Amino acid sequence: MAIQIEEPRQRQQRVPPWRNVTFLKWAAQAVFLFAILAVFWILGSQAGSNLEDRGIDVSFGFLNTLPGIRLAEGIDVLPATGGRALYVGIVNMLRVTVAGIFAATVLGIIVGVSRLSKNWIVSKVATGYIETVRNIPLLVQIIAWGVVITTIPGNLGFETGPFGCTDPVSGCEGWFFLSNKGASFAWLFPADGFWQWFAFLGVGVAASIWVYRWRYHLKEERGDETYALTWGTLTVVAFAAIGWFVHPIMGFLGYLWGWISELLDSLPVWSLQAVLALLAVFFAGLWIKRFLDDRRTPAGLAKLTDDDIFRIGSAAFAGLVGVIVFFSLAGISEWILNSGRDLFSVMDDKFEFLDGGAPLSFGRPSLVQPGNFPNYGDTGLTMSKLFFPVFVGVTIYTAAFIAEVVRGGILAISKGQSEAGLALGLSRTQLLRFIILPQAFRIILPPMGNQYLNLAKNTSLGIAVAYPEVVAVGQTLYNQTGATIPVITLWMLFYVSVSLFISAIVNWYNRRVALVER
Amino acid sequence: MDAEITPIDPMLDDELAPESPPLSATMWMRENLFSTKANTVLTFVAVSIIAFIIRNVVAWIFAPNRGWEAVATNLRFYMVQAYPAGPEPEIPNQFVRVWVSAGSIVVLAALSLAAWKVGTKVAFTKLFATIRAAGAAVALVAFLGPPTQNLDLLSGIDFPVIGPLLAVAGSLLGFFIEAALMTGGRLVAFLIGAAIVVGAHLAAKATKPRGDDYGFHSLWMVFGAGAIVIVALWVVPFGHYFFLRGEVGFETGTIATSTSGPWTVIFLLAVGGYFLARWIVRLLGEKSLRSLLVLFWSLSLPVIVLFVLRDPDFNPAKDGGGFDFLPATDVWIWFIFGILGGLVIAGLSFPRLGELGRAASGLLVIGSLAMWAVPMLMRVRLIGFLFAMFAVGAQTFAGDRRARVRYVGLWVGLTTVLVVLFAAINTQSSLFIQGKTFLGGLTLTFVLALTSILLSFPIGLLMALGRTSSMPIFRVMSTMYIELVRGIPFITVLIFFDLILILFLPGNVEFDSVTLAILAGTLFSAAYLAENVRGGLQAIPKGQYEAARAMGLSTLQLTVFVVLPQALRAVIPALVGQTIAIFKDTSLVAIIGLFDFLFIADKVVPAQTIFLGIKLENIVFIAAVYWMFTFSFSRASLKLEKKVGLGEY
Repeated sequence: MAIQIEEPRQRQQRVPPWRNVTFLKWAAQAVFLFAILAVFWILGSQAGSNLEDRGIDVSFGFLNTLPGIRLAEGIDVLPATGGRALYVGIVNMLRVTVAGIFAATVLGIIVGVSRLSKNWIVSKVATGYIETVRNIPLLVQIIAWGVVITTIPGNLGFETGPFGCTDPVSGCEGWFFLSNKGASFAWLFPADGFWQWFAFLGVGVAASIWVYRWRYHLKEERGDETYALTWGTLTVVAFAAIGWFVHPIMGFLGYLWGWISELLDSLPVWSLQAVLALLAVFFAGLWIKRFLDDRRTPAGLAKLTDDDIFRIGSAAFAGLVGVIVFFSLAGISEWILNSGRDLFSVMDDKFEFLDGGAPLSFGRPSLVQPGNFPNYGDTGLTMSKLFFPVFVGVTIYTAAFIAEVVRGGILAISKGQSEAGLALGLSRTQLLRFIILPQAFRIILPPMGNQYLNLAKNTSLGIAVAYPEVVAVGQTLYNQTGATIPVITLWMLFYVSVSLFISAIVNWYNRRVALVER
Repeated sequence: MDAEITPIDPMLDDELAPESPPLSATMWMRENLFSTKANTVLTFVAVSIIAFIIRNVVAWIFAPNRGWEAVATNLRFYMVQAYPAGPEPEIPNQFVRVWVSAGSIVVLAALSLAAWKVGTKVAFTKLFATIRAAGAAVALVAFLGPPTQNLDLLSGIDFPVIGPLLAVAGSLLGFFIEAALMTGGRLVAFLIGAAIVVGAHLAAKATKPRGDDYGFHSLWMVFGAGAIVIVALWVVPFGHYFFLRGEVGFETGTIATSTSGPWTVIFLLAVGGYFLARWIVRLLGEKSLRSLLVLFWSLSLPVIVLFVLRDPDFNPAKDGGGFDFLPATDVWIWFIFGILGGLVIAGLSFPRLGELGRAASGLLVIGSLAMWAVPMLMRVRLIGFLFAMFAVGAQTFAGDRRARVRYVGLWVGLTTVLVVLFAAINTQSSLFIQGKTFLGGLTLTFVLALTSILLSFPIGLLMALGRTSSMPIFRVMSTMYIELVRGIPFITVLIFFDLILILFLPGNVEFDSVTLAILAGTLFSAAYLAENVRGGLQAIPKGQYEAARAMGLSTLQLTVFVVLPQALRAVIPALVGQTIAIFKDTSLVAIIGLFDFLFIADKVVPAQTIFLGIKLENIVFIAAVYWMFTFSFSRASLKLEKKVGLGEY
């Protein structure tokens, strides 16, 4: 008796398009994309005719003309071009951002740890601080600080008190001044030999890492304490101290910078274009290779979905776009070459072989009275009355959020970790160094990066107290020239690149410390 | 209160938590403040910081030249800005509308308290302990405060240069000298605080033996506080100035005399409503009342803003305005989309329609998108788009007859509400107002925050789904939008909408700046909401998707019935946090010149002739109000988290 075997169907019946999920999905997306593009097109054409009707300037020409504005503070208070004015605004914004990030981190860590303190009153003070500060809008706080600094009792320098200045007309020095002109305090300033010393210090840091590894290795071999961290720190300190006197020898780097600068100057533009295009192709290929490796199983390459193919296709497309952009727009490469050349020639100027004074100079704040009104001299570090409210406002506000991040990170380490560490015989320091902090850092860093990003964006509120950062300068510019659209485009470009920069750092760190699962 | 009120949620009272044995005061201090040498130092540092802050803050608040009058006088301005309040002849007093709005919100809140049985039992012992702590705080502040008498002692050291410790020493010395001379307000305040401490302590001791069950319903405290405020309105003359035609007058009409009547009525209505609702709940159960209240709450914002406060002029007698334009367009829109559209949706949810229904709804979506290419009324496009979305969802509800009926009913109800709202928006307001908009002050802040967060919710949800979708174009576009918006500060978005948006629209389209600010807030917070929801979506285990697929759910059903309920529950804290952030961010509209809460404190009041330059007082006042609201939001969200069982592992 023959066993009847059902013939396998030779050809699978073709799915009609209206039942084909892949087709339907792509159709829906195409319709949606088309609708969005249509909306943009309609809005764009409308904007074109509107702008023509109203005679509004949409060109970026204002970047190269005299804006006729005066900025309240910055590296150049009478900028010659609109572009220069925006650049001054960017520098002001970065100044307050960097200073704020440092101050807010320190304050936030102190408050966050205080909130976890076993001391009842300390933890209550920290809680009160956090609950007060983060529940009041930042703009209200900045405006309040602005009012505080301008209505502070007493004019420049207090009439009495050990830190005050009794006779500003003849001029005098102090340690810390606070008045309606802002704050001024003692500070270490980089001086002539700073960069050479800094380079020497860089060598020192590299050496100290090597020393640390060596001592650590020794400890693992011998099993007794070798004080690796102390050795490492002492190495840096020793380099800093020796460098203070011998830093002029680092001036030879100046020849190197000069040589690089000349090299960049002599390079033809097409060579950089070729390098950039090759890099674009290389990174696209690298991405595709990694993606495919990711999809590879021991049984071979997994079946690619249409989404996967789309991703690979867009990576290849991005690479292609990179090649086309770099070859068609020679200006980009030229700009990179020129700014690189300028950067290195500036660095060349900073380094003088076997020449240079002290790397750092110490300055105390002073009061001077050139005309009718006293003002701060330029010997100390001065925060103007515009800088002060923005800086204090964003610092205090962000510190409250950073404190919560720090607290959350430390609390997230389960108690079992410390107990297990102690049971292994680790000391308190070792426990903190090897068990708690590495894990807490992994948790803390990403939200911390977010807070830094928020701080950078929040500095834009300086516009409320007329601090000339990039938004305020932009507003002044478009009030003068009417170029609203270009200014807002530049704002968005600037802030998006700042945030992409910060999140790139955070993502890189995240990938580095991410737990490898499975 | 009677015994039948029990804690609603067993999680809320911590009877399960192990009770630690009470320590004696000295033991407690040794344990918490002076356990080690470093701890002792920390305690002293913290105490001097607190003392220094208290001393300076109290000195600032009670300084004789403080302009608190500026705040008290402008309270009405702060709340509703220049809402027509008379008594000028050419501007009829419309303030009753504000009272109706405030009253309906308060009464709705009171009814909801009853329907959701909010509140727990407060033990007398705990209440007295709280009062004792408050009294101690008063005494402490009085003790540390600055001298009320100028005793010429240690003068000139008030400022931070000397350091906290000396300031504390000075204030203590001053206190004892004042006490010895029996002069000064500090001593009186200290004695009152001390009396409260002693009285509350005795009362707490007396009630202690009867245990924690001896107490009363916590709402009595709310009602009691309300009653005290109402009585105070009748007794204390808050605010000594009044406004008339932009001028400030003195003394005749105070804030208290003009507000005490309405507030009393509202308070009585709220208390009465509460007990009525309790009675209804006992009689009929809470379910129907709750759904009714949810309906009222969801309608309250548009109804109050568009109808009560804005007062659209539906007067048929008037030329141009009135009802005569309604039949021409709006009634037809309602008929076509509401009734005929309802029939179409009912047909589409017919279970046996199968693939044909899907194709039809797909065509409807394409058609609704095509409507944007043809010139027509904006409201028709919006309703058409919603209609297409409802049509797509119809098959999800195919099957159960009751679900279908409810779905169609929801659509008809929604169109009715939308058509009425659109009609109201398009009708002239009959208000005579001085500024550009009838909204201002705290009202504007609330309207901006609530509208933005409510409108941004669906957009954020869609974008979160888009970003986690496997469809690349949706994913790429959502990601680009979210990252772009999250990368730029809100103020640039606001300025963009304020200045630029109008350039992209046809010449006849006009938006007032409040609408533009709402649009900016909506699109801005949608990106952040999307990220929050995405967090929730990622927290859902893969097994949920697989199980739903195995049951044969479609993608839409999977999303609506399985994924979203879990995802949204998981992100409640983040959503509340976002709401708070939006509430705080609305203050930025002051920069583009809207008369919000901050703008009034920053620019308007300090520019009034008799309050010229009084600024910090105003800023401190609004900071306190902002703080009050955000702090209570976050506390309420903590309770909500506990209630839905989040944050417990």
